[in-house]
Amino acid sequence: MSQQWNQIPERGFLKVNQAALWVFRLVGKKISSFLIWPVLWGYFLTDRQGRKSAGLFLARVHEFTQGQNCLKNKPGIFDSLRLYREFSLQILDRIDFWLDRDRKIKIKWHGDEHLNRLIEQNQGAVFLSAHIGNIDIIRTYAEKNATKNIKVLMFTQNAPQALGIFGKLKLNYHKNLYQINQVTPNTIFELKSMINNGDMLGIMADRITAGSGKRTSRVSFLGKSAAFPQGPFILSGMLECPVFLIFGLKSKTDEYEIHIKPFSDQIQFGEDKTLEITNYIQKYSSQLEAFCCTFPFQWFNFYDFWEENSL
Amino acid sequence: MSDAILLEKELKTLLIHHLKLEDIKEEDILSEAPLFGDGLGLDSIDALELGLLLQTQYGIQIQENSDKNDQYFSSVKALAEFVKNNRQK
Repeated sequence: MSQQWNQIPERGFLKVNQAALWVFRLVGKKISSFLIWPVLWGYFLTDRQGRKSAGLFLARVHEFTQGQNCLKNKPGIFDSLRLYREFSLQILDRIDFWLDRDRKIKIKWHGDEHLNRLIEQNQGAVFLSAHIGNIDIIRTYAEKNATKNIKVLMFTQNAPQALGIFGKLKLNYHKNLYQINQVTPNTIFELKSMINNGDMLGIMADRITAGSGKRTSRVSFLGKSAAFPQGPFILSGMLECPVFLIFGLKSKTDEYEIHIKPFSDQIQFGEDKTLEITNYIQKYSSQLEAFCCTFPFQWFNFYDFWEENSL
Repeated sequence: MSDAILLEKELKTLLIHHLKLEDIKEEDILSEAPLFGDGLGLDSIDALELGLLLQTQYGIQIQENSDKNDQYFSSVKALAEFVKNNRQK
């Protein structure tokens, strides 16, 4: 792999994040969303790799749906720009949430009965998600409203950097982030005790990381083979609990949809573990794919997701 | 053969079998070599599997946040010592 996503500096976005935050505090969200244009253009024009991969993603969606979704025509550079625009607007929404000014943002639930039932039965569960839409909306919402602990597992290397900035600004950014810097044999018991306690564990399952090593599976995603990490699925299996998918997608200005879908009562592996893991990953990929087709401009993996030599 | 050596052999076989370490034989694993990273090259998923394995095989539940954890998993030799002192079955 020429450059792995976690080696791609989140420099740009971090700077956009930071700049947006200050502007936001000064002038509010509405004016910020206009002021962010020049920053956005600047970033869009200099981020060649991100721009290319955004274009590739939209083209794949277009091919896959054959123009049956909102991407009627072959996507061009303005569609890629729209994806960037969406990303920056969602950053503003995130800040809105962080700054506790979220009363305007409405949440529409799809499948919240699953969550309610889990809470009622004090049953812990794993929620697999992806870098599509706004996971922070779910996290922040959960932190404020849920009676249960919803923790998002984080193994990424970019995280400390992001936490650093938001930590400095005294925002409650990382309250329910469960950061694991070093995995030890003991970690599994920490996680199991959370699940036994009825907590919900969020895991991002779309990006391979340097730590994925050989543990990746290539499955079909939007019609082409892409590598996904096996780790989240193996871990879910070890935790012996129900597994759901969760995505927070923006439906319109100041409105998000949170989708919860049952994935597996319990992930189990038999004799051919590798094959079975891959089957689970294919199932995940297919469901993720469906959301990508409906919300193509909310795909925030700015690297070539189908990279051939990715491990 | 001493009990300690036997236990080390047993652990090596367990690791190979449960962590599916292909192309590695019991005698290939050095008792003193690190389990993670450079030595045997176990990764984070293996670490989690190892935690579960110790529980099912020896009834050991590792204490959370013990500073000594790193030491227990530094090598097969250290692990054998740990199992010897903490096994429930």
